[in-house]
Amino acid sequence: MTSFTNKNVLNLLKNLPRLTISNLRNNDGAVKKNKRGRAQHGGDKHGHGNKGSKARQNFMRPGYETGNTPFYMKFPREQYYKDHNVKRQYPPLSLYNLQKMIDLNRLDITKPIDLSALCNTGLYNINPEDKHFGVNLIDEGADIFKAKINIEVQWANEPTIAAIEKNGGVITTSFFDINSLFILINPKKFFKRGEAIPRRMIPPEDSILYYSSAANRGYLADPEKISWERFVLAQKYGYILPKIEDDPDYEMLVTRKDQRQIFYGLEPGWVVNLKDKVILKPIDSQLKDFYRS
Amino acid sequence: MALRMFYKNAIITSGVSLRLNNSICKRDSSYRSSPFALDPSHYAKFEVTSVPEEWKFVERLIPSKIIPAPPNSKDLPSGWQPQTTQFGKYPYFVHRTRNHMLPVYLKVSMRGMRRITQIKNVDGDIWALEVALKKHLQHLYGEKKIIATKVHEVCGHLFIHGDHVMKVCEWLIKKGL
Repeated sequence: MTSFTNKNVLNLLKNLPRLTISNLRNNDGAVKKNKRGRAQHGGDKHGHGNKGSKARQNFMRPGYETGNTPFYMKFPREQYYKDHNVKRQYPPLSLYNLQKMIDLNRLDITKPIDLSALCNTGLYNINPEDKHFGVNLIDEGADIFKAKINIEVQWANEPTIAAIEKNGGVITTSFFDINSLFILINPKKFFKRGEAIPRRMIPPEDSILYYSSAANRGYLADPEKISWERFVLAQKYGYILPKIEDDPDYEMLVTRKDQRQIFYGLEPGWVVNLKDKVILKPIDSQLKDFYRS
Repeated sequence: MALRMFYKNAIITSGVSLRLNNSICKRDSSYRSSPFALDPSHYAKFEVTSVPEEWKFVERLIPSKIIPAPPNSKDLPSGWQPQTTQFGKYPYFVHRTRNHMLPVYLKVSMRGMRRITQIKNVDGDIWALEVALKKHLQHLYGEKKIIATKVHEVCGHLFIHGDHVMKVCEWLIKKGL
């Protein structure tokens, strides 16, 4: 309180410089000069060390610690991705893309859809050389899916199965060994080779449970159990299961391949001649026995 | 090699049994060294059938050589929209791809840091399209946002800096392109 009465202090305040535009400036380091220093002005290494990948514009792979034992290799751990390079792959196809194919007349839904129909559109492709073993139908776009189809895929999850069965369709998961797969994805190329259609092999040990499970709509499962699982899924997802028996496309919807069959309607052992448009069938009893399911 | 071929031919013409022929046959790398095909009586018995019902199963496996015409319907479940605008309504035109899709793509480079929206198949006055699209995006994002564009007039490509694929697609569909 005394300072207000002190005239010397007031005089001091009067003579001190005012805060004006002429003496305003930024805090130190507030403005960074966006320039690379040259020569003695910080022009040596620019904070990038001496030579090597870090001095150049090189982005090291994730986890690499420039010669140290990387953190991910230091400790014993559960190898989640062990043998990932030999595991079977199922490239995904979404229900949204499937619906788009159907809308644009790329797929004929009056006939059963299998992998060869999908590959013949030219919009979906698998490469068995990269350990692709078929199509994984994923549930993206399950809400907009409206088509009634009979589809055979290699892998499907529960929401996908529900989305297809809700519209009165049928889905089957089935396994094709690599030899059958090469034939299935390009049937024209196979027919031109003039060979007999081989038998489809049964699934390997690690996937036989998947393909014989009714919940996965496996092709080796008991049909009666499948119809029960269809009902269970309808209860779970809360929709009324359309009756296939009353459907006008009943014949199409119940069409299924035999477990040894690769194509619909063509049996193993037959030779297709595309030029003369004839099918050669074996009548030798030994051959018939060999190709029998 | 030539001697073996001669020997084999001699065997076939002289009618020696197939078993003997097979026993001396050695498959080299060339197909010329493989045995000659004999008449069908030497092989497994088969019948030749041409049943139209069975041939239908073969026909459905042969891929179509043409892409089918797109539907005219506007309310498809997938949300695909047909191209309704006539050529010439706007000074510019964006053709659909051969699969009847919009030719709008996202190009990602620089380790995912640079994202560029590319519009292909542009016909007519590409500069007018650039102005119109820039105006629309500026309206959506506000005046402060810089919408940098690049025009490749010869190829009919328009590049916009940033990921605007969905917004460009919506704008094109709204215009009926």
